[in-house]
Amino acid sequence: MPKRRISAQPGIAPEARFSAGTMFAALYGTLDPLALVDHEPKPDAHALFYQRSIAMGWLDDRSAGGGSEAGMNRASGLWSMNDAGWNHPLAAADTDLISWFQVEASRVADDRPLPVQPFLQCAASATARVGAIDLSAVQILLPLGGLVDAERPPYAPVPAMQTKDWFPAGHQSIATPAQVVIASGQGYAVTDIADQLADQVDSLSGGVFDRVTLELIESGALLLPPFGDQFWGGPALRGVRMQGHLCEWTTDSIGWLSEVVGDAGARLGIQCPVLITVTRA
Amino acid sequence: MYNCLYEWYTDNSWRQKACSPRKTLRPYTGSGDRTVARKNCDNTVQTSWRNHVDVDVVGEGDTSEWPYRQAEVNCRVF
Repeated sequence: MPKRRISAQPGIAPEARFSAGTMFAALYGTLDPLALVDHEPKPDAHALFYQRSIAMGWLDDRSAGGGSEAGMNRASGLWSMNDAGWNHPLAAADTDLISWFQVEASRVADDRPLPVQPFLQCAASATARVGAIDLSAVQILLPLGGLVDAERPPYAPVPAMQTKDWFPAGHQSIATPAQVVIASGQGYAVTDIADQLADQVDSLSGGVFDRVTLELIESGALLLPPFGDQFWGGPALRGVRMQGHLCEWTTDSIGWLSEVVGDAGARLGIQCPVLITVTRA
Repeated sequence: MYNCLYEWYTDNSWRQKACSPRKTLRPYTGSGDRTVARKNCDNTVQTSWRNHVDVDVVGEGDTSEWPYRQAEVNCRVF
């Protein structure tokens, strides 16, 4: 009996290295151009972010191959670069978008959060290279599917909690009213667990973000993100809005809170990308 | 300059699925100038892809390098 020929099919290469997924940040507000940046064209956001990522040891270069340096020991890191810009063709016309950055987050270590704090640090540093930033909002897409395989150890069930004491809790002079909107795409992964998510955020982030209110909002009240819906199964149908106070209005506190929301959401079973928008109230 | 997308197959081959048009890029524009190779996905099953970039520097001799970036993407093309 003749053997059946099995034709080759697309698949996963043996040397595949899996990432956590696409991470996206958009900064909103005003940008007062620096006097030293008076040349045209404007410095490139991609180049600034890329170079800052290398300088700080955050760029993962292990996806490269095939060049004359094949076989070299390449840098591991937190992300590999995708794209960046000052404007985005998909940004809504009436928003004050000042910059955006898209990376592929590397696989997350079991005792580390998605690297939102360094990601926002890098984004803000690159943006501040061309002007003084007055942030009004930060929007972050978190690939929570990248946390599914993370086996959180007992000492770090929510890894961001290891760094909570960095933040100056209880200083009313720098505390800032803020609202946090959390949405998934076309599904109801976030809104279905709104109360449990808020409870976890309260118990974990109290002192850094002190929540006052919780409500469900419709899509019309969401700040539309400046990227394609294919990244997160958007546009969102509904979202969850928490209003309260951030202990300080910095990308660090926004990043930390996003890391906590990410792990809290993953613990509650969310496996899809989640969009977090933190706005100064 | 141009780039091409290659999809991994179970016979351990990388098969070309799309290439961008050739374009002469300005220096120092970061991602401001780019070439784009596009292919629609048939489904969203995770698959290994490589993006090869071929650069001919104006006024310079070519090298034999064939560098790429590899990513595992939720996109499969048959």
